[in-house]
Amino acid sequence: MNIVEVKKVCIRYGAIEAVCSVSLEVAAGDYVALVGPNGSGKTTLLKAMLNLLPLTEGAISLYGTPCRQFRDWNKIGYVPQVSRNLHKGFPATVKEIVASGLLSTKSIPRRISRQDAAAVEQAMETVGIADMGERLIDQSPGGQQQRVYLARAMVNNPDMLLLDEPTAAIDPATREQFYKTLCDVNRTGGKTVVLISHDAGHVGHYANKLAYLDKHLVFFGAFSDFCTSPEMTKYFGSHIQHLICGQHCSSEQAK
Amino acid sequence: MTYLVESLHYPFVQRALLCGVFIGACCALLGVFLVLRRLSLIGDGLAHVGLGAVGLGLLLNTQPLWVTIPLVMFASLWIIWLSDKADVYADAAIGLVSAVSAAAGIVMASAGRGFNVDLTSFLFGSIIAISPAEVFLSVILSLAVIITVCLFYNELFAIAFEEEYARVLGIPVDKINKLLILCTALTVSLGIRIVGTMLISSLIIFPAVSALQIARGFRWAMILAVIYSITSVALGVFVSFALNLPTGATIVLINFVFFVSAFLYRRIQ
Repeated sequence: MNIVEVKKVCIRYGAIEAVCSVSLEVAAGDYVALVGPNGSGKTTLLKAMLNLLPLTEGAISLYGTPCRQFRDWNKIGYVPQVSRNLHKGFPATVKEIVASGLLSTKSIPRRISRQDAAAVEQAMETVGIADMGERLIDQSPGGQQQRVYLARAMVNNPDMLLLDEPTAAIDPATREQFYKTLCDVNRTGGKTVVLISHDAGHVGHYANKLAYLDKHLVFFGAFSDFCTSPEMTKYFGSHIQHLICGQHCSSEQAK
Repeated sequence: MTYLVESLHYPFVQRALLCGVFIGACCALLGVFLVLRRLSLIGDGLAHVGLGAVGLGLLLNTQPLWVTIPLVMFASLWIIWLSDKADVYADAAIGLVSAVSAAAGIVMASAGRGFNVDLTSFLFGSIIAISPAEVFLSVILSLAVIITVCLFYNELFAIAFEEEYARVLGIPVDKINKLLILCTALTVSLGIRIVGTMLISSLIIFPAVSALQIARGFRWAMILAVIYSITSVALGVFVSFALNLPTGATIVLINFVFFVSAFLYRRIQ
């Protein structure tokens, strides 16, 4: 079953074209890596999927419902691109931030009950920040902050996670750990993952599908097809393709 | 101490305290959200609108509060409209609406009875001169603001932390934003009587920034801000009464002392 269907989508900011003629589908259980250079429209496309940006052309549906009419936001967990100093001085604790992810499951006025505390603890434990609950968000290191946002996205037990460059500001070791956590969430937890990354080679370790965007969709399909595609060799050059796919293949062999 | 207890017997001190505590609590609760969202100067802007409305009230020879409340609420929606629909930056929209309103108010007050004692009392506040009817109205409307903030606490928190994420949670961000600004407009209209249009924004900003210096969680920030605000208003009423000082300015200076102590406490920690 397709959870997300993007059909011939174009998004323009005035005369500037952010993305155009993009069509792709995300099925339940997929791990899709959305990659591409800076300014290629990755974040724009992800935000359009979340109904945060209007489409100039085309259509996007979530669970078979046009995203403009979609209301089951509790099925989706979102980890936005957050710069390190965005929440400097904000007095919220990690527990308060994670608990706010539960608001999509509530109706107005949204109350967070004592029973919800168990879900918050569970989400924090899943991403490995169980002991950070009382720490202030702006006093947590970058890698831990990303885990907080992942816990917030997962606290309502959504079917799908959409992540926008969650590892952009963290060191390689923490990044690797973060990807492993996400991989567990996908393979063990059965959640669909759509992840934006600059690092096609790295996410290639884990993703089963790759969408390469450069204002239009250059490639969308299985990672192994990407690696053997003569068109992609022509587009990227064999060296770049090898860099991206080499890591993927080695991880497959390791399994 | 005996002096403090004695002063509590005066009805005007009782009224000042009752009114001040409720409006102070509203200012503190809203202040935390406004400061974190870099909207704290909307209090100042709406206070200028309040001055304009007082001018119109004096021209019409009516109780200024009846004119101030609807006009300041209308101006707050005008600010939102300008920044959302007319692509004017929020701070510029605040400046634009407040300048036009203040200018209109001064012109109207001059055309009516001139720049007189009444207008001056709204410029600098006159909590001691507040009437029983004004106290009643202030307490009822303050309660409405406090209940609204408590009911929508989680939505306001989520929007203050990350507006875009709040939208993904399905929170009606635009409606909640309007509610926050309308509550601010109502609180500013009522608060003008306590510290005046010149100083009302300080009652919104000071308790919040003092609390943000030392709070160890969002709920704590809200509670601390309310404690700072209520204490400053109560102390301000007593000190100004004892030393024959202007009450509004005394409240602001006490808030400044609280802020400096919170700042130093944070540095020492």
